[in-house]
Amino acid sequence: MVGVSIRSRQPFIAALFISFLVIPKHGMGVECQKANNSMVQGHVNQRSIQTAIFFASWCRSCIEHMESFDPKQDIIILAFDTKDSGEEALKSLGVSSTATCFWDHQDSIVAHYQVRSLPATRPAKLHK
Amino acid sequence: MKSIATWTFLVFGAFMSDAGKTYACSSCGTGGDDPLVLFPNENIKTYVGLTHGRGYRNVLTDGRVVANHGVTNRQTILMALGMRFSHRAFITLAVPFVTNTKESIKEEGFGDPNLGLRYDFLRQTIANPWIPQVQAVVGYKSGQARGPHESRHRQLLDVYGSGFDEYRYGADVWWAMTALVGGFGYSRTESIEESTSVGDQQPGTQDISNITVGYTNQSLKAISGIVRKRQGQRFAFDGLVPQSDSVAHSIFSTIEIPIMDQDFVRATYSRGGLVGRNSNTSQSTNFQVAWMRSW
Repeated sequence: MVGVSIRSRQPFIAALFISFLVIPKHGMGVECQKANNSMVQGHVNQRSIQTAIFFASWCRSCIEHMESFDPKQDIIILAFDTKDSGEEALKSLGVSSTATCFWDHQDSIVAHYQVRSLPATRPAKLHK
Repeated sequence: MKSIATWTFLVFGAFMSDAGKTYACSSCGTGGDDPLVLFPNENIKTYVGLTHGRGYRNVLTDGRVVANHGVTNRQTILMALGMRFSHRAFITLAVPFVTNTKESIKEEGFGDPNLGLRYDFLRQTIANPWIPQVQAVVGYKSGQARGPHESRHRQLLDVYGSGFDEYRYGADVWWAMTALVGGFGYSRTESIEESTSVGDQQPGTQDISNITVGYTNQSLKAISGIVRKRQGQRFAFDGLVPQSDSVAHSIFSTIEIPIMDQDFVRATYSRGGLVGRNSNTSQSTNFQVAWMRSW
């Protein structure tokens, strides 16, 4: 009797399990635009960006820096990482899809801001 | 049962006292034989470590501990270089310089250069903190330095290496996405047979496993663990040498502190052959300080 009861619930349990895997848990995530340093500087100069927050999916300490992230004043630089991993990690932290994120695929942005380790934050406009 | 309780006490006792690791632990993994492991943002990293070993005693086949009439102190300067050549892989080269001392007698020379390669099969991510980093580890150690079977010194003071070429392979599993970190590693080392004046010789296959636990935050990493080495029988004189297999357990504690953006300082305390069942090995106590810089 017990076996029949469990068997009859199998489709429901399977559907629940699949929905847990498939349904996004934090809504739409942020997309990190493939960029070089000149693109980032152009963006910073056009808008009133205050801070560049550097981030990677493997950087546990970066979580604390993301807590103070303000999408209106800050930009995220995804560095030393792959685009997919970084975006997935940002999504898991609940970062808004309206946030601006650049993927530093050539290490030109970290070179400009002299970032060699993570976590790191820098004033968006460097006075050199 | 008693030995399990003792082990548990030692591992967690060391952890609770904020101690760390011995076997050249790594920045981003349990370490194993490689003195340094590169973070994903590091392309080149250098390492200089100084180890002082003392308290050498012999452990016999039956586990009895007797005095050692050879080396009383050993200092090792280990220089290593790590280079990343892809998003997932890097190589390391380590060269030791060894000074053996017995009372007023001192002998010194270079040890065996050790080449290692690590490849990330799986990387840790904030999105899935319970999925570990999984690294494949392969290595080659060139038997350049004099080994025990080639020694010209009665008390083996001129022994700086194994005397055999060795290659190794294994895996390293590491969780580090929470404040409590930990992992385990396993590697197998095979020695290459060598012809000597008394016939062909080959040390037995060596299995090395380690378990590491610790705590980390932005300003400190403290880890402790146990390393188990088991070596099979040695081949010599056209056959396996009876009772030449060995078992050794060591415990370690390491504290690593980042200094500025690129520099790390590490201090390690380890004791070998003092816990668990040991046979055909030696006891020792080691202190190590090391400095690492990423470029």
